[in-house]
Amino acid sequence: MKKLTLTTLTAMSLALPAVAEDTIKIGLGVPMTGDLAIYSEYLGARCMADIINAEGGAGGKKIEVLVQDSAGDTQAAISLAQKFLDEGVVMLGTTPFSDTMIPVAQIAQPYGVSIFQPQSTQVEMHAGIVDNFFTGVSPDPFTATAAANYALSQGVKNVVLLTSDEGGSWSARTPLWFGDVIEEGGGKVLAKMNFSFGTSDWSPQIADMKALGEGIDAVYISSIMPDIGVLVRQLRSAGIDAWVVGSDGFDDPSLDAVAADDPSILDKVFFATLAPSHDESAVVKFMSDCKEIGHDVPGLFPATGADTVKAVAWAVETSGSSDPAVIAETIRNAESIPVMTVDSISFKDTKTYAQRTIPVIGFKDGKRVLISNEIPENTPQDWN
Amino acid sequence: MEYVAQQVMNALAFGAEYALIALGLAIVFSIMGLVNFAHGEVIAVGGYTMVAFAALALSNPFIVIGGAIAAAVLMSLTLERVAFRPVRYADPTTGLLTAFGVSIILQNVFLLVVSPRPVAVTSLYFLDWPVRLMGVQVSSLQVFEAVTTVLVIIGLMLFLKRTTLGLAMRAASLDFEMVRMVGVRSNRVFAMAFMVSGLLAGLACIFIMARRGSVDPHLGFNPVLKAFVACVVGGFGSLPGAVLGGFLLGAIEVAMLVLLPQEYGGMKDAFVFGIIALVLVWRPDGILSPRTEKGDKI
Repeated sequence: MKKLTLTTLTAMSLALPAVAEDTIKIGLGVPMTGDLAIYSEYLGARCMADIINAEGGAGGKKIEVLVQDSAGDTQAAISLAQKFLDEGVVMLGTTPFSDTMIPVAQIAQPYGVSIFQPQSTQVEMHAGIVDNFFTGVSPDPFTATAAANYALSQGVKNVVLLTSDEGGSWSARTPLWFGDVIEEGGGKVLAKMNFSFGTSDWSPQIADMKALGEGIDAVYISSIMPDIGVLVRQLRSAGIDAWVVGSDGFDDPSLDAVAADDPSILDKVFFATLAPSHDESAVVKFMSDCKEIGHDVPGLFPATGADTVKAVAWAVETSGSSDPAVIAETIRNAESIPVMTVDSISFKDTKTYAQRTIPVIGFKDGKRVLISNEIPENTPQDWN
Repeated sequence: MEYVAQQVMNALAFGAEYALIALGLAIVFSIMGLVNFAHGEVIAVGGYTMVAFAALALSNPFIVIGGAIAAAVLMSLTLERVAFRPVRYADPTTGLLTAFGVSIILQNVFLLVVSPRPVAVTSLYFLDWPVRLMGVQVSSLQVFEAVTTVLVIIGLMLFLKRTTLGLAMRAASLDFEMVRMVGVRSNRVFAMAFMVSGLLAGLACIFIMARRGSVDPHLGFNPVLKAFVACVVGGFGSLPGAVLGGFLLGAIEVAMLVLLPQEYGGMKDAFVFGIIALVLVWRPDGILSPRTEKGDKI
């Protein structure tokens, strides 16, 4: 009996690599807890893997998404990346901030493995420090430009920029790029003011705005909820009827709740974001499809994980290979890669970030509406 | 001139919020020597109670406010009974670690059971509208918060000086063993300190939620860190010190926010804490910590 058991175990262990080869593994060492958890893509990635597997997998191979919590800690993310690399993943995802993405990319490089971040917009990753990196969205200067173009089309001239160093270039430089495009378009930056994340009282900044003595057409901020909702309400309460403009940090369902009692409060709010997430969008349909098969994907950021899985699955099918370096090269050289959040993306000209349309989302009667969805051509060039 | 008056009002409003939370920390510290970092999660419990009321379609503001305060008081008493009573006589470091542990556990409970995302609760928005006060436009919420803080300070002083239990708490802050020897039940004194602390957390929760309109697992943690700084500056364990520290911190924060040039904006906290450090060099035990009678906390 003992001999039989040993034989069985030996046979099973010998069979394991064969099983592994039939599986395409994607490793996500991402924040599932902590402040950064809301930006994680793992819920959408799991759902998309189940959808693809139910349809026969990628080139006949099953997609397996390995997920473990980094809690936003860089060292934990590095350890998880190493663990996933040892388990034979073909693509990695990690905490979407450059101080984590860069070291993770560096340890993945000898394995031929790349990082695919479906939601990272920080420009630091495209400065050439690492090249085994993809971000499924366009960097912040593009979103700032898309927002500025729409603002100019609405007659915006005088703007106030709120900046903070706490979110890196996302919160510090995105407002400046917005200001650059506004000035290029004939507008004027009246003032730049500081803020901190977690601000629940904007009265000092609002007092500064009122003291400017000039009419403010728009206030730009790249920040997070609930701070943005508080800002919108306090500006209106103080009698400042300027547009409130922002980036993907506005893209949280809790912003819509600000208009629960008075839908008009969001009439002059719009933001440029990663992907359309209004009622008829592919993202909302995906979330609904996921719900039907038992996955709760609560919002755009979690949904973006679908892009990681779909891009990898497409590369495996197209190249017929499960080699991580071949998969990365296939993605990098493709004219068009189908993803979930938009019809397609491409890295051919840009190398590390996706060339894609930038949706600008506004509100009508408290509901999100897609205002524009184009690739801006007048993006500032001082970021790379 | 109007601009200066406006920013002074803003500084008072910032200070009032810090003072309210700092009082909740100080009252527990003065009796037990415990820095209760889980105070922020008690505030968050109040916020999540509002979420529950919203889900149950209970929007009557009196029920929402009363329920949130009651939940905060209940949570504070529960923490005293379950987490802090077993370590009451342990080394202060044990108490500190317990408080951090409780804080982390509660944050993760909110995160796993509710959501890591902000959950919107708009039932207290009605508390916020513009008011003109002595020629300056302020938010009604700022006025309510400042008035509430003043009333709380007066109420707390009356309670501590005019009631038997208050007297016992003051005595306990000086010499707890002696208070026990004369027959005062220690459990009651500790429970009362946590109850008052929970009440203050509940009140702070009302104002934070009315302004933010949403709750997330970290709702109270950062304000409590600020309140801790206020307590240290004011003199830890001193209730007037907590209030003074709160208002001082609020004033320094607003001053740095509006006075620092934009290119130095990222150094706001460095300047704020630099000034705090200078205050502590001048008064290492905090501004209102008496040099001659260190034991007299109240």
